[in-house]
This record gives sequence, C-alpha cells and structure tokens, in this order.
Amino acid sequence: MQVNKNIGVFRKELIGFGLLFMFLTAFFFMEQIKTGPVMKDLPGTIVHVNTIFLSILIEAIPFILLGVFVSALIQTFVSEESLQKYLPKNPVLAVLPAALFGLLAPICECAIVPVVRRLIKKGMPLHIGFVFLAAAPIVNPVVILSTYYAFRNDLTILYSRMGLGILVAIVTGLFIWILFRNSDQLKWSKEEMVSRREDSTVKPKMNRLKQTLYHASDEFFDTGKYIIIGAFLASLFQTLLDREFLLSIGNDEIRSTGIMMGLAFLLSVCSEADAFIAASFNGTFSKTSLIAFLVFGPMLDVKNAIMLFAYFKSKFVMVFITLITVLVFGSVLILSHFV
Amino acid sequence: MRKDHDWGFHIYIRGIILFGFMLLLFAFIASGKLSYYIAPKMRMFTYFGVGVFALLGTVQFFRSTSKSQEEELNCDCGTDHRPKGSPISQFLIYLLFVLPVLAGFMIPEKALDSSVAQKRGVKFGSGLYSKPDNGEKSAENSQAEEKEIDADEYLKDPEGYIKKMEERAANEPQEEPQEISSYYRKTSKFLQRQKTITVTSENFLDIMGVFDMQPDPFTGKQIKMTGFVYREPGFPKSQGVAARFAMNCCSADAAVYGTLMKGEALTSIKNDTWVTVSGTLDKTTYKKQNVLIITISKLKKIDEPKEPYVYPSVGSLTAN
Repeated sequence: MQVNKNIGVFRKELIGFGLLFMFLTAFFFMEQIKTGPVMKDLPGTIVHVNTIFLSILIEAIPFILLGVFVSALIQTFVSEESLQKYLPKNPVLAVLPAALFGLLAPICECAIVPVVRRLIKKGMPLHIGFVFLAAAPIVNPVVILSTYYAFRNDLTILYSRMGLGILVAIVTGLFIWILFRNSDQLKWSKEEMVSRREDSTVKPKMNRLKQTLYHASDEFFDTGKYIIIGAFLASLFQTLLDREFLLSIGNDEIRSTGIMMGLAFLLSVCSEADAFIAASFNGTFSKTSLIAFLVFGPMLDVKNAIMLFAYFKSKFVMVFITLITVLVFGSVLILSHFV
Repeated sequence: MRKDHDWGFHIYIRGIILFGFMLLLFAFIASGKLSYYIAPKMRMFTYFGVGVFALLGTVQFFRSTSKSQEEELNCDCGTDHRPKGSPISQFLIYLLFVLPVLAGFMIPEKALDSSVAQKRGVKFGSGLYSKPDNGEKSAENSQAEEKEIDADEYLKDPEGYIKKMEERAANEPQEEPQEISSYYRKTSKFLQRQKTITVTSENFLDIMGVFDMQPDPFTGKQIKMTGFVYREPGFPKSQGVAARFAMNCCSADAAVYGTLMKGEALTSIKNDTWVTVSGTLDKTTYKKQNVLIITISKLKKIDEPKEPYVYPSVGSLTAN
C-alpha cells in the first residue's frame, strides 16, 4: 500500500513539474516558437481567431479577478444579518435602489454573475439580485462615460440606453418577484446542501485574509472556464461573421433590431467598450436598433448565459432570458416611435 | 471528505496554472506584444492582473504544501470548490485553462488585416460605413418607390400618412453631418491652415473624423498618410483605401478607418501592404456620400509599423 501511494505521489509531482516546465520553456523561447517554421505558416484565420480570443480574455481577466475578489470579500466580510439589515424591507420598492446600485459598484458584465450568486447565497432576495445583475453593467459610471464618448453627437442614445436599462431591469425584477417570489433558484450540489445546514454550527475560524485569497483563486477556476468558452465562441463569430450579410438582411426596423440584439449576444463585447462597436454601425442600422444592442448586450451575452445556466436552475434562466429579450425588443420598438 | 489528498493535488495544479497566466501576461508586457491585444489605456488592468496572479499562485503553492488541518485547504464558504466529475472531465477543464496560455506563447500575433476589414466593413472618414452593394440597391429601389407620394393612401388617411412619412424621414440617414463639436472644429481650423496635412498615428482618427464631417475645405490640399492597402470588392486595381484599425479597448472592438486613394502607382501593390502615400485630396462621391479621395503622386512601400493600431486621441475623448 505504502509503495502504491508513493508511486501515486511521484506521478502527481511529475505532472506538476511537467506543466511548469512546459510553461517556462514556452516563456523563455516564445520568440523562437512564434517565428518557427510551424507557427509562422499558420493560416491567417486561425491567427486572427487566436488574437481576438486572447484579447477578449486579457481584457476580461482583470475584471473577472476584480469580481472574484469582490465576491470573496462579500463572502468573508458581509454577514447574512448585515445584508438583511440594509436591504429595504418592501420587496417591490427595493427594485429601484437595486437598479441604481451599479452607480456605486461599477461591475461590468464579466464579473457580475459570480457577485450576484454570492449575494443571493447570502440571502439577497432573488428578484433584487437579478435587477442588480441586469442593471449594473449598464447603469455604471464607466459605461456612461464610454457611451457618451461614442455618441457625443447624439445624446438621446445615451439617455435611452440608461433609461431603458433601468426600466427593463426593474420590470424583469417585478416579473421574477411575481413568478418566483423568493424561491431558491440556485444550483446547490449535495455537499453544499450538507454544509449549508451546518452553517449555523461554529466552524474553526481561520485567518480572514487567507480565507479571501483561497476563495478568490477557487472562484477564478469556477468562473474562468465559462469565460474561456465564451471568449472563444465570441472570437469565432468576430472573425467569421460577415457584416455585409447582416446588413443585407436587416433593412426594416423589426429585423434590424433583432439582428443587433443577436449580434450583441454573440459578440460578447465588454459593456465598457460596446458603445464603440455600436458606433461603428451608426448610419447603417437604425438608431433604435443600436439602442437595442446597447441595452441587450450587457444584460445577456454568450459568456453570461453559459454562467447563468451553470449557477442557476435552467427553467429559471430560460424565463429570465425570455423576459429580458421580450422586454428589450418591445420597449425598443415602442421607443422607435419617439426618437 | 474523501480523497482530500486529491484536493491538495488540484490546489497544486491550479497554482501552476495561475503561475502560467502570470508568465503569459508578463511576457506580453515585456515583449510589447500586448499592443496587439489591448489598447494602452487598458494596460494598467493587465499589470493588476499580473500582480493578482502572482499573489494567488504563491498562496496556492503554500496552501497545497500546508501540513496543517484539513480545513486549511478549504475556503470555508459553504461551496464545494472541488472539481466534480470523472478524471477525464477534470482533465479537460484544466486543459481549457492551459490551452489559452500555450496559445498565447506559441501562436504568433498578426495585426488585423483586410480579410477582417472586409468582414467588418471600412469607415471612410469616420461616419460612412461601406454598405454591401446588392443589399443597398434593393433597399434603394424600394425606398425610391415608397418615396413617391401615394395619393390614394394620403386621401384615405391623411394624418396617418403624414406621420408615416415623418417617421420614414426620421429613420433615413442624415445627409448633412451633425453639428461638429468644438474639438473637431478646432482640429479642422488647424488643418485648414496647414499646407500639407501629415497624418500620424496620433492624429489619425481626429483627421479622419474631420474629413468625414466637413470634406469641402480640404479639396486640393496636399496630404501624406500611412496605412495598409485595402480594396473593397469591385475596386479596380488602381483604387484602394489607406486603412488602419482603430482600437478602443481590445482587438475585438477594432474598427477600420481610412481614406480612399487612386493612382497608377497602386496597381502593383497587393492588399495588406503597408504604404506611405502622398498626394492631393479631391472630392468624390462613394455610395452616395461626399468623401475625399487621394490622387497619389508618391507611394512608398513600408514595413508594418511596430504599433499597427491607432487609438482615439485624448483630446477627442475629453473635449467636447
């Protein structure tokens, strides 16, 4: 037995060292590998997909880490009791502060899902959590600024984006309240259920800083896999999707709105930069369909949807996606009569 | 709580992967390759990322070798972070994290080029977006038909008809450029005083913006600019665009900007070749918009610039 165990340990050490050795070799010989015979002749499409994939990842990772830390800090330092104390008691009135809370906590859509999951686990009502999830990536100072830069000539776009963002988030929240009340829509594993019941028992407290750091890196691996898959899918769409094709089919208000919403979902650009993408469609697609792009994208995109399905019950996520889609589509079409 | 030994191993492997991400970001920063991926204003976030990965990786290492109690390994949050599923699915999940790191180290960077430009469409000046020919034509035809006043419909429902026309007018792209912000007006005035307009990486987007908003004052002026050659489908060999990709945050949001150019010197130049052209600006219409076109007097092939992308200038972002 002892011998077997030792072999196991040895093999694991070997895997670890192998991995580390691979990384270090790649690190020190990066130039040589990149300009080497095999890599130099890669087809352009693969190179472009890779460049866009990594650029989405490199751009998103710091914000994911930030979100992971916020989530870890909430976990370690915010107790259920204090959360209950500060939440407004009236479930309907509480949606408004939830929709505006993003102004104080600028979290973009890459980071919002783990944070909201954590808050809901800590006892935040389900519908409040999702109002925050939908609104925060739009109603936040960084996004307001970038939208302002991108559409300075036409501020109605900025106002409509913020207005509709708050409105859709609140209405979605109210629907969730009506349909689900405060039922438990989180996916809990069996072990979690067990430890949740044990939560009331006293646990040996360890160093809070250490706990936060442990938690942050564990959560990075929980969340990171969805971001990586999402970034890869988005980079495929980015490289292979022909905009001319979109333009040729999107020539009325309803279809162009639908197309821009689909595009927002597939491209998965960070809500802090999507205004510039939208600006590049200015003049080709109608103004209101750009607003649909700017409102829908931060609330739902490929990487977000994958994460939602991983953390919440599928039926609930389907209802949430339907609500957001219908509400954004409907409100934008109504808006098109006014702007 | 079985197989705690395994959990220790996972912590160890995760530490190495975190270390790998740190190495990759560090290598990109040190080699300057980061500029292929993200805009300069986003760099500070990447520095933050390097720091966090270094911290977390180190912590993981000590955590995995920790000889103390078993609860030391867990983060005490009520969630089981331990990977579930068969060894194969666990292996695949780690592969998902290892692959981007290896791809970053091994696959070479290439600036986005005309193959991507064609998919994304080029912006001449900064406002006009190239439209597909066939789609536009059909849209035009139908619009032309609709535009004729339909007397019957008007008689049936005058109010509704006028409302419809107004809506249609509102939806049509505006012919006149919107009012120009003071920053661009200043830039325009400055450019009009120049004898030769020299376009650099720094002022590229500002100048393209001005050309788009008011092309008229610049006809007849001399210009010198750099970009890669891009041809729309259907362009003759002697015509092209001096184009550059502009990046706001990362290469996923990069858009193509450029100015039309024509001249015999261009005939032998392939797409995606970087050139510096000098010439005279003329007015032309392209897809029913007034745009400027460079009549080339001198054309020089150059190597791809070390920083192929252009970024919005600080002035255009802060001034109004």
